[in-house]
Amino acid sequence: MATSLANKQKLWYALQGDVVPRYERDSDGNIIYDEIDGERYPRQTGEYDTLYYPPVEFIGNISFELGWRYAHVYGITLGDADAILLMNLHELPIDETSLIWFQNEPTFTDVNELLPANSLYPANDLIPTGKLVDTASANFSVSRVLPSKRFVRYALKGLDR
Amino acid sequence: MVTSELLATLLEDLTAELKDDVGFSQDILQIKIEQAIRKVITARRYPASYSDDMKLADLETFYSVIRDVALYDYRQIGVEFEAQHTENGTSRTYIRPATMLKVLPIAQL
Repeated sequence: MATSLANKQKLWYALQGDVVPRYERDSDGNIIYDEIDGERYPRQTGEYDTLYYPPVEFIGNISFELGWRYAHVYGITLGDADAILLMNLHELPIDETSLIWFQNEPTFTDVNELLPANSLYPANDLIPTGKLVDTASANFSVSRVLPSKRFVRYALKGLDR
Repeated sequence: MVTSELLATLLEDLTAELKDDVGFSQDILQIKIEQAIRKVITARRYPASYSDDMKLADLETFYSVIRDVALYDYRQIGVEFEAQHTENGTSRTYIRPATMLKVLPIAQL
């Protein structure tokens, strides 16, 4: 460990899972199926949902100080970053698709519908209510990953909540 | 261990102080307290004639020194042996550890 424990704050991250299609439903909320060659297939709307793995709590050094010398790390402009998260190298598995929570815990949406089989719910089962993370509760997305020899800086972009 | 009672008291007191800190680990805190006790034992250079009870009674008088050294070491987790540390916009300067270990040896050859 080469970052100060005294500087760390509590956060959560969620890794992106599968992108799954939405199904068309009738007025009662039931999925509409089409029958092709004797097999029943749910009818897709053409829209997709991005699923995220359950958020994981961690501690890290987040800073909102975006002065010139921090914004131009390695000559790269961080652009419209709102915060910088500093971690030890290989400490977190997050990348540019991940979500970050800070100062508020992740919440979960009430889900009670059939989703296509995916890496989170491979059995194509009905997802139990309250199992799916509410991505709208996240504070940041990761806009850039900037590793150095011992550290990784993550440029975070604030999300509209 | 001769200092188990002192260790338990220090662990309880420092836990009460630090338990709400982000990332608090009582296991690591215990290691830091044990190390602080050992530092004082080394600095005191007890003569061979000192019994365990005498050592314990003597160490009790250094409660605040042991506490300070343990707390200092705990606060330096991640930045051990650094005199100052700058990280993501935060800069800290640390006092020299030797200034806390105000312990005179019992006997000096």
